[in-house]
Amino acid sequence: MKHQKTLLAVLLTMSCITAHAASVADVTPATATVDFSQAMTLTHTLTPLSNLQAGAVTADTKLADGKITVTGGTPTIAIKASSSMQTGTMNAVILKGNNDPSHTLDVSFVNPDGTGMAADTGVAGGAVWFMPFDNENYIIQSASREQTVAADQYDISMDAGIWNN
Amino acid sequence: MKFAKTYIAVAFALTGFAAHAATVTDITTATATLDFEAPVTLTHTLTAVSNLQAGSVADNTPVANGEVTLSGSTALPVVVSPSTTMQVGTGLGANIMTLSGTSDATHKLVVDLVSPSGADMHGQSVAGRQWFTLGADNKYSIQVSGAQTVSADQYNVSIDAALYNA
Repeated sequence: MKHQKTLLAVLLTMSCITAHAASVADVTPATATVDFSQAMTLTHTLTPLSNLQAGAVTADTKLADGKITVTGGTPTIAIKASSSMQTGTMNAVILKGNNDPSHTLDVSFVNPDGTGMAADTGVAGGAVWFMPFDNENYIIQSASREQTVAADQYDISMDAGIWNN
Repeated sequence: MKFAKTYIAVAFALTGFAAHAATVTDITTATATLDFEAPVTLTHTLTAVSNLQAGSVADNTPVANGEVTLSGSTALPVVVSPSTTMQVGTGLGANIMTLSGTSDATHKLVVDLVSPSGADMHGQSVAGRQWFTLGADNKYSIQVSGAQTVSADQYNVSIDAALYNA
């Protein structure tokens, strides 16, 4: 008799499950594309001109070519003189001779055609950064006045980076 | 009141600017050394061979020796060329000069500008003028060009030297 009661209870339970089958409504799909981008890589070169002659150097004489190339993206490039450089107003840099620091050479960094670059004075950290017109090339040139340059080697160091506005 | 509004507007603008300050990342540094060399001075001598005898003269007989010395080092090669006052040949004969006697201009001596060994030097045209590159010793020779009969006379030859800056 006990066995019959148990069987009845199982049958009732099964009926109950059938009567209350769960349902899923208002299905809303969501999709996402997980994009693994190639990391951007900057290559920055600064090539001095050869056969620079000491003595009177005319204003705006080209002294070096700077170039930044990027792989993995097309960001906006910004440049500035490295913090180790003695900077003047805006894009002016004062270089010192390696053999005799009393030898100085005033230069500036500008677009390849000699024009000034757009500047952002609001970059975090306070440094002023400049944007090459073609986003790739710049030159180092002597200051916009004639100067007498002593025979010596003058180091210049420039930073380039990705500008994130 | 208008001043007050302007002031407030400026304050908001500055605040917004500060909140959205740009950043520069992935900074790479490039350095260069600008090497200003002291100007190089050229000293150029052309010395006539002594005891030259008029009459029949053999081909390649040296008649003068030239040398250029530099006051400092330079990567630029030294080049020489017959002075513009010289009567020179054309084309491949640009190193051949026809000299005239100073006593009698009808007296002629044909010479060429060559290396001390007598070999032709590499020539390059600059603004229509042919210049010849000296060897490491920066020396050259003026030699008789072809066997000839030379009249007794004095014959002037003038050579220019320079640094070749491509």
